[in-house]
Amino acid sequence: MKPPPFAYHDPRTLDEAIALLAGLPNARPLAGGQSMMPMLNMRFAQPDHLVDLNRITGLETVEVEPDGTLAIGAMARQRDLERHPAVARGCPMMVEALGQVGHRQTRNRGTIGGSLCHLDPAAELPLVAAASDAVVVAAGPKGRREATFADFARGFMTPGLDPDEVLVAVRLPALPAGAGCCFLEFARRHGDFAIVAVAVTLVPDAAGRIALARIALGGVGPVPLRLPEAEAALRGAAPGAEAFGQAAATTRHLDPLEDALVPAWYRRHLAGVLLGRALATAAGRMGRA
Amino acid sequence: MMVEGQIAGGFAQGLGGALYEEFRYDERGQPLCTTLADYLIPTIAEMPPLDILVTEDAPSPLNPLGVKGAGEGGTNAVGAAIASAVDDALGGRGLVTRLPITPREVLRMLGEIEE
Amino acid sequence: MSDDRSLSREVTCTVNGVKRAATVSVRRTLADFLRHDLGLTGTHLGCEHGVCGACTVLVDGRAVRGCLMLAVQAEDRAVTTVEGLAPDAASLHPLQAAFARHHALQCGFCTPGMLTTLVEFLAEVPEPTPAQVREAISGNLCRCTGYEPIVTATLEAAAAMRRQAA
Repeated sequence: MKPPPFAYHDPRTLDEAIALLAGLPNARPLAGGQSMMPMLNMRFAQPDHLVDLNRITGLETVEVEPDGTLAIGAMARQRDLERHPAVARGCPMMVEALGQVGHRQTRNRGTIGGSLCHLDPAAELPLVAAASDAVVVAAGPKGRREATFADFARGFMTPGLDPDEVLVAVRLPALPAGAGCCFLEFARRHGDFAIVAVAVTLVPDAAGRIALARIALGGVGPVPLRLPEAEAALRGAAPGAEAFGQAAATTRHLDPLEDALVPAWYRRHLAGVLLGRALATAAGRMGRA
Repeated sequence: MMVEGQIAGGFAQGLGGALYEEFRYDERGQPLCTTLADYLIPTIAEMPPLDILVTEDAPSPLNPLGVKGAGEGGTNAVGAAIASAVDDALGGRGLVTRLPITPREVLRMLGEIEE
Repeated sequence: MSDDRSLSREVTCTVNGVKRAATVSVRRTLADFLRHDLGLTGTHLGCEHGVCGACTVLVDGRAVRGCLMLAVQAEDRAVTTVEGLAPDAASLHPLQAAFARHHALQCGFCTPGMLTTLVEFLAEVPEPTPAQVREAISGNLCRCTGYEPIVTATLEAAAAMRRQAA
């Protein structure tokens, strides 16, 4: 289980990396390597050129902008984000999710950008991005551009990135006052890929009812799935078992992925159960509007 | 201490066989669980607290060191014990007929879902 | 080996405090570099896809999967393997001593990965609870011990290390 032959490049600047990706045939970027290296070791990926991003400085920062937007560099290590005070304040759901992402050793190398670009349907960070209305920033030969995460997540493990583009940052809008969030997943063992995962944000109004709900499911579709029907059902509702039961029931209409190991009906069942629990937990974490 | 260690380790392996480890194949006989990501060996997170009781220290009279093998005793009973416990919890109707017992399998036995 | 630096390179890094160098193919993993090019076979390969943890080493103090890094990525870095944990030839690291006392290893295959992971963990959390120790090694598979002796050994070693530091 050794990687196939490739040519290796370790640019020192982002512009160099972009030029290499633009100019070399069958070139893939290498970020944390925690998804890419297993694919190379098992020869599921066979690039002719590997462009290592790890020697480029400045892509790993975490900043809170004046309007409260949390701007996270694509090369920020998952373990650093897990322990970063700005992430704990600005996106507590991400901290909750990161505790489930692989293991400490993989989080020491794995990056947020790598996870978002790998876009595994059951991965935690893409789900958090979807549930947080995140915006991604990509850099290419023509400069930088932004895209909503919804647009970025084109399809099954297919991010909306040109071959000569590099993801450089992900930006999460500030959480509204009093928001309660919950990230829950079901996996067979601690640290395994989720079979189904759910990320919920509930925003209260002045009367304590739900002004806004953001609900995203992972592991049921080729990309993280927002649930507009459930979100609409919760708008204006009083938090409680009745509202949450109704929202969870909308998962009966899901047509989840089927694979050789997990049938669709089981994912649908898990989605309903997890959503009910996550809504109750998120509601309990709501503060004042 | 070595015997207890063998029993603890054997329990972990038995737990894997009872609840997690399964070699699965597709309809053409191709193996599906070919990596440690698919073949689920228990991590420490899956282990329950253990009480280990060694009731007697009886060296073997058949060799100069008095040693005996202790490696299998921990594993052997675990699958049966867990299967019996789950079956008992489900009303003792003999529903548990195979290992591993997965959460999905328990849902099916509870009649909560149709397979 | 080719002269083309995109295909093979001399990798220079510090391993267990000693500057080491070897010329390797760029596709050589860090684990294989340590084992085959540097002769440090204490780092073990259990799966080569990042799940089992037996290949865990420290790179600049961080516990990482040696099978999921390339040797060339260790250029200018400080790597610590299990061979580098004992303070000298006559003594064991407190974790190693405690592991021996508490039968926290049987076949020893997972042990290097356990030790390096715990070295990082105890540096971060010098006075851990048992639950924290369990979380710390939840990414290291062991087939022999049932894990609990490792937790016991770690708690004892942590206490010894706190006393040493005091």
